[in-house]
Amino acid sequence: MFDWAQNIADWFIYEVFHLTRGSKAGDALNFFVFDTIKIFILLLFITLLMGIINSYFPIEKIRNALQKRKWYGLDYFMASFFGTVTPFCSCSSVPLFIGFVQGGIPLGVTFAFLISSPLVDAVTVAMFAGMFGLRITVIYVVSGIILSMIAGFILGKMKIDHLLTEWVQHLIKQKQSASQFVEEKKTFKQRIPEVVKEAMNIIKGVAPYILIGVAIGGLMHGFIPTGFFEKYITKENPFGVPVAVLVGVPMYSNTAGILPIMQVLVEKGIPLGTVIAFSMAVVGLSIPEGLLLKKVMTGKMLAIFFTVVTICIIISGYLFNIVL
Amino acid sequence: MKRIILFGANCAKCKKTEINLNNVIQKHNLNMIVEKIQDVQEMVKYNILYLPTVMIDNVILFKGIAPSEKEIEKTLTNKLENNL
Repeated sequence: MFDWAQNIADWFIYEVFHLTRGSKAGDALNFFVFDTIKIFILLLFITLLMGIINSYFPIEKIRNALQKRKWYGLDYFMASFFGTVTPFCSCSSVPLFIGFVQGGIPLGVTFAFLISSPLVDAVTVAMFAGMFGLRITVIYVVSGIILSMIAGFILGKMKIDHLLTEWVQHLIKQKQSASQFVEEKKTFKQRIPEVVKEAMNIIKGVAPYILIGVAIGGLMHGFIPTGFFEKYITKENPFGVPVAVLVGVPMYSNTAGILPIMQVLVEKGIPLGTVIAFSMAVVGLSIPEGLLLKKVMTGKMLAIFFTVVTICIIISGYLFNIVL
Repeated sequence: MKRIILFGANCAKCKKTEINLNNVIQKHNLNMIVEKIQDVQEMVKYNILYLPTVMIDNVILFKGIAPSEKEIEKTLTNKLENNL
């Protein structure tokens, strides 16, 4: 699909700059040019696609739907699925959380949304598609949704509502009326400019990270011998996944800068499943988000939330390593 | 003086929105003031799900995005004309 981009990269590096094919510098630069073109095209395509879905199913609509009907378990899927197309800024996690539980949406379903929204976002999906191809991307997205559902379900079943901070519990008891959200009727044409603008904002925001990530990836690609890491981490090493996940959880970063480096690590011998689990840990949980959530949940509840999600990510890491 | 309510936190988007709003008010010498609300309990009252959210007269103008000065200008002038 991206042969033409490879041709441009080849022409640019080997013809225009006269670098030798197979030389370390030539390989590194070729990798940089090719990956940059590919990633930005994928990013544009995926942010637009997710933006369009989000435009038709804004968060208020999802919340109303979850509030009004009994979904018999399907609500976990709804929350996880629509969480993926909802752009997530960690500063919104508190109002979102309150808005959900206050409307009577079960805590577990709220958690499912809160987990899937940062876990499967447009940037991560685009980076996965660019770095690891379509098959791995589908596996990431599907497992991200399933993981959010399962973790949300477990948290819901644990009956930890009493561990919410007092004012939130008080608020839930009051059960305010459902929001008076009225959706503006817009044609597809009217929606497009907004979607494009939002997509551009996302791309502009992550562009520097992608460039730096791909540059470092390019250097490593050219200069680190293939199979280098196999000496240290193998699929058989039982500590690989948990260590990767525990390192990833406190990190507050987007996948834009990290995945190009991860791709090279995989190429040089680190198991793919371990890398996927690491990425999930980086985007799914972060310390700043935890600090924000402290406003609505007690330390104990926060610890339970982080532990359950971390364990789910570690288990998926092992599963990925078995399957892939 | 008209109050523009900005629901926000300490993130980059929210800060940028506040700066842009103030710049536009200053530039056009508008009789408006930005009131930033960071208290979650206040946000709950207004059913705010996304930060930053900009609101005038209980009408939401922007949510979840940091509007540029140009967009703010356009929206505010529209709003003022309609009110006159």
